[in-house]
Formats: sequence, structure tokens, C-alpha cells
Amino acid sequence: MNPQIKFENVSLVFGKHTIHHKLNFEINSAEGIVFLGPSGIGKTMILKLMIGLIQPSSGKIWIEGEEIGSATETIKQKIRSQVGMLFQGAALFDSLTVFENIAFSLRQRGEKDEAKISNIVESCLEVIGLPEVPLKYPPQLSGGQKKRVGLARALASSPKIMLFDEPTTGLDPTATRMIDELIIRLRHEMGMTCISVTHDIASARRIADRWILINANGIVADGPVSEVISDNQYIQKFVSGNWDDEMTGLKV
Amino acid sequence: MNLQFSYLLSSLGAYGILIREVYRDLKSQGVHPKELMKQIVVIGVRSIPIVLLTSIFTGMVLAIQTAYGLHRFGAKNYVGNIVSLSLVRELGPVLTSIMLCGRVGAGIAAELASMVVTEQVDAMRVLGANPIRKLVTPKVIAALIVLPLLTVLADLIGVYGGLVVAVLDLNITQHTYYRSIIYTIKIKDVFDGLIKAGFFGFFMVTIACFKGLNTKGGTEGVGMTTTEAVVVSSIVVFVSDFFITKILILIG
Repeated sequence: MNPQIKFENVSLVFGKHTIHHKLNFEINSAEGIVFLGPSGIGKTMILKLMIGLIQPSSGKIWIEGEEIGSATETIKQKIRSQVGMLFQGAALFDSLTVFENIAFSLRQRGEKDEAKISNIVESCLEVIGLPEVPLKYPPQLSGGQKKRVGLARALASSPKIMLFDEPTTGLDPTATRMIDELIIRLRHEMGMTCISVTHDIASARRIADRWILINANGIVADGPVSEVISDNQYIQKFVSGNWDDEMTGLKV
Repeated sequence: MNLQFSYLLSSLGAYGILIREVYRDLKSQGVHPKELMKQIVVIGVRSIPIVLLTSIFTGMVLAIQTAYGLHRFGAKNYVGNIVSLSLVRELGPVLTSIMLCGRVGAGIAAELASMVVTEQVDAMRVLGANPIRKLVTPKVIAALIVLPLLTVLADLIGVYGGLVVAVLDLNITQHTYYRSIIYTIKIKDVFDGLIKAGFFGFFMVTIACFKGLNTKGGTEGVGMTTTEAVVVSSIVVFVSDFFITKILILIG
């Protein structure tokens, strides 16, 4: 079986600063992955590389068999139609209502049938448990509601892969659990591949069955959650909060 | 010094790419009429009060200053000639553009910068939209339409301001003032002013968009971007004014 996502020797360099050096990993369909690592190590960059928002300095990235790193904008748009992303702050368009935010990608991708758009938006709002907010504007929503609407917006185009950037940061425990359960449902009921970046270890345990831990030298742990927790010293130190500069790799 | 020079060069290159993208987008897709109308209102209609206020007082003070100088040579009756020519060829387009650099340029830069730091521009790309098409092209076209129209308004109101001072303060008859304008102003003078206004509007909006879309950092970055956009576009208006005026005079 071909992997759904493949990183091959992917490096990312900004000026003189190397963010990632020769990343290699594969992700299969319907997997639940969490990327872990200290703040500022470039975890969000991995998500942005996957969706073609930034170009790798070297190496290749395949999404659904298409190479996205050097693809034209048209190819990137084709790939992006299969990938949804929940941004850290939800990134809702403040000047549009919740309805218009969710309908945005459908209209952009050429959907003209307003009845169909309306049905999709309503069903997305049902999935996230917020059927009453379509006419509200993002500034009128709470942080948790914004995240859920951001998720609904990403789901509107029925992606095969969902990327979550810090999906539970800044949320109360109830909202956190709600988001976690939505991610689990997306995987188990809709068969989506869910890739998250988070610092929330409790949440990472719930939503993923595979963890990938990165430091400045690259991937230092990659495997099933129970396995890496028991076998990998980096994961053990990260989870227990005993992470230091040497573990980050800055001194190596 | 070397670093600053290479930064300037790379910025100019990136600015050139933005303009090329706008041109390509315009050529392939045109501009969405609804979005264009919205921008005409934002850039043009809402700027009318500030343009009227600055131009009427500019016309008035110009009349006072000119009369003060010409009085020494017994040439006070030429106030209308100088006020109208200065306004139509120079002050109308320049002052209108400078006012808009502050009001509109700052607004555009701050809006786009906020969208960048809250990842809304990235979200737009992920959701299948081209940010240049959505955020830049309509503003550029609106500025190209609106700046010359606002300049005509500024010219008329400025000349009227001069008339008020001429009649009430300098004892010049209305007839003398109007006659001096008609004998002085040629159609080419008006067109030259409008051509300059078009260029200034283009520079103002493209610089504001460029600065906004290239914002780095958080809220501090938004503030810096806004300031830079106003400063750079104002300087570009003054510098380009010299060269465009020289070219227009050479063309005859």
C-alpha cells in the first residue's frame, strides 16, 4: 500500500537558520498522528509543508501520490482540495458570517448550487454541535466555538486528510474534550487521516495512535504511542517535563 | 550595508512579483464587480470628506500666500492663474495621494498584516482562494479609478477655496479670478494631474498590500508594517512625482 503522505529527506532552511534537516516519514490513510516537540522547533512548519504553504529547501513531499513541494499552484490547489487544516487561532474571516466562512471553500471550488451549499454548511455545523451560530460573526464566538467553526470550515470540502495545529490550546477542559472527540470521530467514522501538532499530552494520548517527536536534529521518536512511551527516552523526558537543551539538540 | 542593499533588492524583486501576479490575475480573471464596488466605496467615497477639507484649505492658503508675494510686484490679479495651475498640475494629485496614503494605505496595510499574523491569508490559500485575487487586485483597480476622480474633486474645491479668499480677502472680482483660470489652465494640465494621480494611487495601494502581505511577527509587526507602508508610499509619491512630471513635460 502506498503511503498517503511521504516526506523524503525534507529540509527547511530560512536564511542561515536550519529549521528541519532531512526529515523522513510516511503516513498511511486513517492514521492518527501527533507531532510533539519543544516550542519553536518547527512543528507547525511540517503541517504547512504538507499543504504547500511553504516550500521545502530540499527533499520531496508526496500527498496522495502528488509531489507538492515543486508543484504548480494549480496542482497545489488540487492537492489542497483533499486536505483540510484547522489553524491555531482558527483563522476565521472576521468580515464573513459563520455560514459564509464555512461556505467559502465550496464557492471557491466552483459550487454554485446554493441549496447544496446550505445543506453542507448545516451538516458541518451539526457535526461540530453548533447549529445555532450560522449568522454570527467570528468576533461574537468564544475561543472554543471559533475552533469548532474552523473545523467545520475545513470539513466542508470533505477532505481525506485533516491537519490540526494546536487544536486545544487555550481551551477549557470541556472544550478540549469536545475537540478531541470530534477528531476521534473524524478518524473512526469518516476514515480521515488526522495529523495534529500539540503540547497537550493528555489530548495527544486520546487522539493519536502514533507519536512523532522532533528536535533540532530531526525525528528522535516515531512509533505507536504505548511503544514510544515505554521505550524512548526522549518521549519519556518530554512527557515528564524533563526536557533540556541537550534533548532539543541545540548543543549537538 | 551589504545586507541592507541585498534586503532592498530582494524587496524590490518581491514587489515586482506581486505586481506581476496582479497583472496576470487581471488578465486571466478580471475583477469581481461586487468586490470592486466595495473597494471604490472604501477607498474613494469614504475619503471624500478628508479630501474636500484638505483641498479647500490648501486652495485658500495658496491664494493668501500667492497674493502676499505677487502684491510686491503689483500682480495680485494673477492669483487665480497660480492657484489653479499649482492645484491642477501639482497639489491636487499630490495632496490627495498623501492624504490617502495615511487614510487608505494605513488601513490596507493594517488589515492585510492582521490577516497574515492571524493566518487568515494562509487559510485563504488552503481553502482554494488566491489571496492576490481576493485582497489585492480589486484594491489596485479601485485606486486607479478613484484617485483621478478624487483629484478632480480636490482641484475644483481647491480652486473654489482660492476664489473665496480672492473675493473676500484680496478684493479680486469673481470675474477676474475665473477669467485668469480659463486663460491659464489647458486640458493637458488637467490630464497630466490625473495621470499622476493614477500612478500615485497604484503605488500607494500596491506598497500597502506588499507591506501588509509580508508582515512578520505578531501585533508589533502589524504596527511596524502600517507605519512603513505610510512612510514608504508617501516617499514614493514625492519621488515619483518628480520623474513623472519631468516625463510628462518632455512628452509635451
